[in-house]
Amino acid sequence: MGNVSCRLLATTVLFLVLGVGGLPATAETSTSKINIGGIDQPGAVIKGVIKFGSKVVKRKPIRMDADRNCAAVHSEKVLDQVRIFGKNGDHNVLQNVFVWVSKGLKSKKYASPKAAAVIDQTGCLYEPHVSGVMIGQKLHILNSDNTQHNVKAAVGRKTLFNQASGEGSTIEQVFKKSQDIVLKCDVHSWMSAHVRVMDHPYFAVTQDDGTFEIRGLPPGDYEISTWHEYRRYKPDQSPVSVTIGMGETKEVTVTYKSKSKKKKKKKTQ
Amino acid sequence: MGKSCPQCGSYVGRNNATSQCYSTWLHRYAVLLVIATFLLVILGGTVTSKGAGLAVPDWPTSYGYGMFELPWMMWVGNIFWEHLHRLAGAAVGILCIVMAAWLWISQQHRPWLRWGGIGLLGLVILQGVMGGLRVTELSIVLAITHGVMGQLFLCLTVFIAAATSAYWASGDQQDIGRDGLDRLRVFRYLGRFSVFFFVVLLIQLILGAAMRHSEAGLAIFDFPSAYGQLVPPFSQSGIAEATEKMLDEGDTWLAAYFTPMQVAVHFAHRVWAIVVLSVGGWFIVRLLRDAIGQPLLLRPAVAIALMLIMQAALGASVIWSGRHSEVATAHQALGAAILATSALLLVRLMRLNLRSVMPSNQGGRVVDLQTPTSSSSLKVVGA
Repeated sequence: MGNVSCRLLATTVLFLVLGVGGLPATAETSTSKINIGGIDQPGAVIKGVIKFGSKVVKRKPIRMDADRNCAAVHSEKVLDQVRIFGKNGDHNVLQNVFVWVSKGLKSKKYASPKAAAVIDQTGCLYEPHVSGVMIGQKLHILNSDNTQHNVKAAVGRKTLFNQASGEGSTIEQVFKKSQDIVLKCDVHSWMSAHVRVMDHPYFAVTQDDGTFEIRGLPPGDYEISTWHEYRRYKPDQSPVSVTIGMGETKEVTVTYKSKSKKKKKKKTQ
Repeated sequence: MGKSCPQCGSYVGRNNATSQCYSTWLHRYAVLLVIATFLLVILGGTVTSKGAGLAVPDWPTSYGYGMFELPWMMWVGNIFWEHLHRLAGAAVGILCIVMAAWLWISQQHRPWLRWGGIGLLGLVILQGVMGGLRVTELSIVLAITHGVMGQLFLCLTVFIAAATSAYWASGDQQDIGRDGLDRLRVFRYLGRFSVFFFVVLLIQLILGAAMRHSEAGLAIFDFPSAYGQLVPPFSQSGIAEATEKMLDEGDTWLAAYFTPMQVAVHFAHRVWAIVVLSVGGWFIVRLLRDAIGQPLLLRPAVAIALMLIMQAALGASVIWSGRHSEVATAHQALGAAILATSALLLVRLMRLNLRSVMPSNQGGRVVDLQTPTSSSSLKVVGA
């Protein structure tokens, strides 16, 4: 556990030194400068906010009584992790939206970061709930809980691996192709997380104020796509076209709305 | 206490006038094995309903511990159900070892039953290995096979319990009633129909297992309609469109649209349920009409009739409850009970047909019903 903490600290310091410390923890944009023709140039930045423009429904509480070790960690009710809005009750922004450059990048092989991406199982929840890693980058799945977990990774209906995750242990995985992975704990059925494996470093996940930032882009015409786990939340525009020059910063705002139901509900749930 | 059997030395039960050996304790032990296996099947169903099948990722160890050494403090969440299922499987395995040995020692005069005991032991070992490989190989096909085999294993225990019963021992003493040969033909028909009904139930079991293990229990999430229609959409775009129309804002449970394969398997399970109810209904009506005076046939027939009605209601409740795990498990367990009872009925009918006695006013002789189809060609044996 101590080694993991040291690695995390070292990674954070490295990011701060390189000037990318403000990036979301999962965005592995390795540098804000790019090398063009042998000369370092300032990379462009696309940043923005994901807003939420519909009425917010009540989130359901998670029942953790199947394992008292989980329930004991939380003094307050834990609400579903699928729909998380802004901090301090701000329902106008949306967290855990995955944002990435979906078109416009030169097809080349990007070097994966040496630092591992980290997902922690803490309070019997995955933290972060949504994240991204690059092909070839290490993913460390920690267990900070005082209980036993298992980590099952699946792409669609196909299970990639299923490993035990004891107290204080670390699971290390490296993925070889782009895919959307769902992590689940079968011991605690409410635990799930989404990991997107990317073939480039230009992605981010919205933070608790709904913002994101993608740094170090070469100048060019790009398309920015967004994804949220909750199927009924749809963006008003996706992808978003952005033309950006050397060292420029462009801002993007996308508003998610809940898709209204067209027909009266018939089933009971 | 009965007399000692001249053939095998075991105690003979109340029907000690029979020509075959009947051990009360052997039969009681066989019934115990049926009950233990049924509980094991319910536990297996609970594991699947709760999504606990992979909660213990290693096998034959459990989180590195031996099967009987996992510390109690680690029995948390769904580990409890998965590990309990493993231990219950081991317990049934031990019961099977004893049963196989008991049959081998005591049933020299019935070699088929001795080998039945060996088959039982082999099947329980195979079933255990299959359950373990399902975990280590992350195989859905193995999971489905494990689920189906579990219930077939239950049927085998029912067969052994029937074969060790007083009824079986007195099988060649059965008086099938007043109408003589005509009724024998009816029972022969019912015997064949019981096999057909069993196969119909088996297909439904396979469909149910495929549905559960492919997470398609709610692939059609309304009932009795299917996505608001008689027949659900089977294309991905149609499913997506229909889902959007049906679901409400609060329905977070559906992370992704169901696939056409999931919808197809689910719908097949529903359609086949109609076949089961139709075939089962016809079978039960015929039994109630033709098996008067045969309580050993009527009792399971009435039980199957009641269970089929309850099963249909439970199937609907699985959907209406949003696939609540306890409701889903009850549906699976009742399905197993129906299959096992139909196996009992099948065995009893076959036994009745293979060695039956004409009424005393028609000679009181044993008739062989295996070949003839008309009364004129009935071959009278054992006169």
